Amino acid sequence: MIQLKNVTKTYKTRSGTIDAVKDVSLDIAKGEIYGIIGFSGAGKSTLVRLINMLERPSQGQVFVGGEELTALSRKKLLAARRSIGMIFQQFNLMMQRSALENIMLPLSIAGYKKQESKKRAHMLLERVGIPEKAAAYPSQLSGGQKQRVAIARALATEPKVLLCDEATSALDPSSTESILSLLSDINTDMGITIVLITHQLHVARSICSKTAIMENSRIVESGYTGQLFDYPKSQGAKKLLMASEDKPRAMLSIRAFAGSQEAAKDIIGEACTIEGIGLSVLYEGSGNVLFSLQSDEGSEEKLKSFLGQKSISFEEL
Amino acid sequence: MEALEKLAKLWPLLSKGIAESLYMTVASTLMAYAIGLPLGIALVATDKGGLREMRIVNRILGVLINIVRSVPFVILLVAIMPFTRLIVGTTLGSKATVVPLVVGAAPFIARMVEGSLKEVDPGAIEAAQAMGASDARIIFSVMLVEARPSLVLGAAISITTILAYSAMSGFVGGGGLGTIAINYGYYRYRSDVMLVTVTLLVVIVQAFQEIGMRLARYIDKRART
Repeated sequence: MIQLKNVTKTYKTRSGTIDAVKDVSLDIAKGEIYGIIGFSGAGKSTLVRLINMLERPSQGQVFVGGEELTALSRKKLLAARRSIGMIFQQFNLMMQRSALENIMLPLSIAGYKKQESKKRAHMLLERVGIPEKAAAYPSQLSGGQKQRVAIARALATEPKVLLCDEATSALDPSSTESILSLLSDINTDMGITIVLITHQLHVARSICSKTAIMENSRIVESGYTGQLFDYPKSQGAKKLLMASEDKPRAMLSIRAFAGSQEAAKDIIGEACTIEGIGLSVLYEGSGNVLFSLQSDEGSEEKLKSFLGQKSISFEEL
Repeated sequence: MEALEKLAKLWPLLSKGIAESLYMTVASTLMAYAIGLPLGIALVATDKGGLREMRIVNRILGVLINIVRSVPFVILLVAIMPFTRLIVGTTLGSKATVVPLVVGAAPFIARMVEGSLKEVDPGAIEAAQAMGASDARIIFSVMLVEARPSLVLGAAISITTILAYSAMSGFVGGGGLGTIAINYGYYRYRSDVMLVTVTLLVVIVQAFQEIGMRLARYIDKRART
């Protein structure tokens, strides 16, 4: 559904050029919920804006639904954007328009008749669970309700793709949960492809089928979400997963070289009695032991100092 | 009592003065907006990061506006008299004063409009772009709508400024309350007339300002809970 081919976005500044996105290629299938995670400043927000060409790539091609956006005329691009909805961290609702009028705006831009768009807007408000808020203005709505209006607005023109730029980052945990389950429902019901940019790892973990990790303007690793979180391969991914609030979930592997099968058994026996760490152990043969543990600081330190005391050499994987 | 009777005799003159002042002010404001509003939109659109970034055009517009704005209105009034005569055929009376008022106020209004439009949340504009809105659509359906309360406040300031300008034209026979204040209050030492005309000007300015502020508050959908 979405394909980026070697996309680079370069900004010129006074002190030279900056690559906000560097040589990124992505392939997102229809109906997927695809997460892009990374530290702030990694280039996520620029990347998501390349998909609907709010930012024009300096190099590379962007395809959405088989259509090459990078090759379209301005007029055709505007039409193409109607099949790509977008929601934002700060909701970006029109403050002088009611919830209903906000949802009617994209419809009116797409040329719908007023009566028809009003009907559709009511239906969409129903769909996002706040039909009673039609006449309310954004200033009268809570964060979660504003994002619901924004979602209804983004879905108004029946897009094939929904882009979410830190859509839950300004919300409290319970609103975050409810917005995520709404997005997930919409994905199931409508088969819409969702691209979700976030720095909140638990968000990606809870609803994304696939995830890509961005670091320093590049995608350093991507794959199925579960696999990626549990067995990160790249340095960038490990760094991100360890720095997150989800620390206990990130796993760390240490390979110890015990020397002999005998020594390995002893080490395994003793390591398991160390207080306050949870590990799983795998004997690898030829005297090597693979420890897998949750990487909260305490456990890691305890295991390392234990191995140090026993003067057993080890490596982090 | 005697003083009041004197003033009562002047009432036909004063009421004519009020009508002329209001006519000049309202007509000039409308025409100045016809020029200033598009200019203000152009300033914002061509600015850095604007919808149609054109730095050179923006620079030229900015300099032109600043030039007109830096000429004191009394000077402008006299300086463009040939132009005024060309357009209305005379330089006297309230109709003639409308010309310099429009010329003097349009750049001021352009800056007021520019300020209001720049307050519009860039996020709202980005959302409209993501919807596939054209630039014209963004200007009319997003920027002008979102900036409405601020534009109304700006209009209140503009109209009171134009009223003050129109009074200045009294020195060169521009008509309205300004002319009465100059001819009677100043040249004939009628300080009572001076006092009354000034009071009337103050009342009109207050009224415009108050109406503008109330209207802005009334139409603003942000402040309500």
